[in-house]
Amino acid sequence: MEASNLFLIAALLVAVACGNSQPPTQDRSTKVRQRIADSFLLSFALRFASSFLQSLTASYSSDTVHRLAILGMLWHVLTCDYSYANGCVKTGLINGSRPIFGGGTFSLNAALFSTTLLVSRIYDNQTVFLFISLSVVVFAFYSTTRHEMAKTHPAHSSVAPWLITVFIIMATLCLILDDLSLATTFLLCSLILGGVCPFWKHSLQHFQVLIKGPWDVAQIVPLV
Amino acid sequence: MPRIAMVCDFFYPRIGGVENHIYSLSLNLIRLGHKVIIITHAYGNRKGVRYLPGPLKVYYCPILPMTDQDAMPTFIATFPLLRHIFIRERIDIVHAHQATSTMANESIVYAAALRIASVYTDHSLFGFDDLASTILNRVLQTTLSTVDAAIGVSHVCHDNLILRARLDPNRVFVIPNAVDPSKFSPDPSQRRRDRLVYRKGIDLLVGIIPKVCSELKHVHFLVGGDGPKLLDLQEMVERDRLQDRVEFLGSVPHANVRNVLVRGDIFLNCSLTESFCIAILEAACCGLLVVSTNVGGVPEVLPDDMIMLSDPTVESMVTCVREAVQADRTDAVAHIQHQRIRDVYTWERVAEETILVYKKVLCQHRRGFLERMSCYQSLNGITGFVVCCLALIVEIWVRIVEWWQPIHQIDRVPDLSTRVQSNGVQHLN
Repeated sequence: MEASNLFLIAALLVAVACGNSQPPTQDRSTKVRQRIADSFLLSFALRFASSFLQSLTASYSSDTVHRLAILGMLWHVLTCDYSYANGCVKTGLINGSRPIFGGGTFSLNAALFSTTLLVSRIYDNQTVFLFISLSVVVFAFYSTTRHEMAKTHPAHSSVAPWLITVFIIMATLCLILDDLSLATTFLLCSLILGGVCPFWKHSLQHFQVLIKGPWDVAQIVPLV
Repeated sequence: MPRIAMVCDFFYPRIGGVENHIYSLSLNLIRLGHKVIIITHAYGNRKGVRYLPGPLKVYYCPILPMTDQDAMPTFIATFPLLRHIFIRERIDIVHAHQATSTMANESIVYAAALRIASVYTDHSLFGFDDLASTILNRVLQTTLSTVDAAIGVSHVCHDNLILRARLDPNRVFVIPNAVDPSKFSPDPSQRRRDRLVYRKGIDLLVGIIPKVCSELKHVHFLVGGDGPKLLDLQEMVERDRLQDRVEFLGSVPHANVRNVLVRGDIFLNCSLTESFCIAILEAACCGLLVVSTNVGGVPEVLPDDMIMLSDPTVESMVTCVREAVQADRTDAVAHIQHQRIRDVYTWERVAEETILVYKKVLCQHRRGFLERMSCYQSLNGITGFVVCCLALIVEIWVRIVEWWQPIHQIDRVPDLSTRVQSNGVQHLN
């Protein structure tokens, strides 16, 4: 558990370091005040929410909770907007945009649904609060952080995104090392998704039919 | 005279370009002496057989629409009903419309199985690299492998159809759409100077309107239509305080479109893709100068003195609008423009050209089972094998239905005698 925590903290430090490498858009003291106020508000809200979220699904049977949580996380993985996480900006809007969750609304809802289910199996209020806070940081804030990082530290020219990915994988492995089959499966899936699939996709590109013509929908260039 | 069945999911009471095309073409084919029926699915309580002026018989079949008025693909379940209709109406040609219509695709397969000639008309453009287009193109390639002829409404549509469905170019024809000039006549007296009417391409329009309004103080916008993007336009008007320069008309019934168009001098089309764009034809028929994005089949529709084409960017469109506003056009030009379109874009011409296609397909040899299997096998790979298996299932089902509902037990519908009034409208006796 301690090793897992260390890896997570390392990943967080890398993300924060990448975030702070951008030129500051506002005064440092104002920024610090804003961040502290935001974190206090969020902590207060989550601390308040954790007490009733813990009892929300307490009456469900454990295997129902586990199955639903797994399904929720699978749905989160499937519906996550990976193009946003890799720095792509949504096009099609010229003037302004309504605030949307870039990482995918379904994805976030599914992750928080799984979180709500799992906290019913934790008996200590403090642990529930920490678990929910971690979930909010990982699923709500991380996608935007990753998006910003992909723009300032792209994977092809920076080691930071790779470091974060490795730290997160190591943190997960530390938690599941007791179950050798699960750990092996997880490691294999990570290697296939992170290593084999990109090369496979690259090799399939020359089969792609690219016929451009006047039938293509015109792309609007957003106004600056 | 060949007897034609127009098959499509999209027909009245749903309003749209495809629906208008099917109705207008059918009416004019009837006027030229052909027997035409329309087969579509039921719309709400509208089930059974209805007669439209012509008289045009419409079969509203009890088939379940799944999404956006498109029938659920059942593959073989609709075959007994459609076969029954084809036999009782003694249909010689099945004319299917629109790639996204399930009934159209299925009817082409059924027509091939029943050895009835088939023609397909495509009304839209599709790409090649997104998932939906890839799947649709594959389906189209499958169903059109046994079609006798295909028609595109523009040369761009023709090229797009050939590439998507991998058709023999000798079997694909171009028959542009038309407009009913009697319903779209100019009325310069309705104009207040420099009004623009728009359609589609809202994201462009949100950028164009403020720039045009700031540069040209005497220009006003008339915005007709409704949809989710209307909010973007309304927000733009609020933000830039253009309430006295932009008038929102809301959803405009098709019968009132002409009355809206004649209030304007310039028609602004910001579409990002169009196969033919009948809206600009209607606007030009009403005497308006058209400013449009240079996309799809739009450049083919109107001559240079009736349309100003622009790149689909805000700056180019604003430049084009500025030039259009400065163009000196008299009221007489509107009437001359209307007359020119009236002479060229007529539904009679479309019907005559379609009849030529019908004559061509009727002379062709009807494919047997093995020939059809070789057509499906030419799809190659796993698709070819799967489609051949499906074709085998269809063939077995055809035999079962022929045993279950023998052809001699199906009554043939007599043709109703009609009389033609002096205005050319036919009535039942």
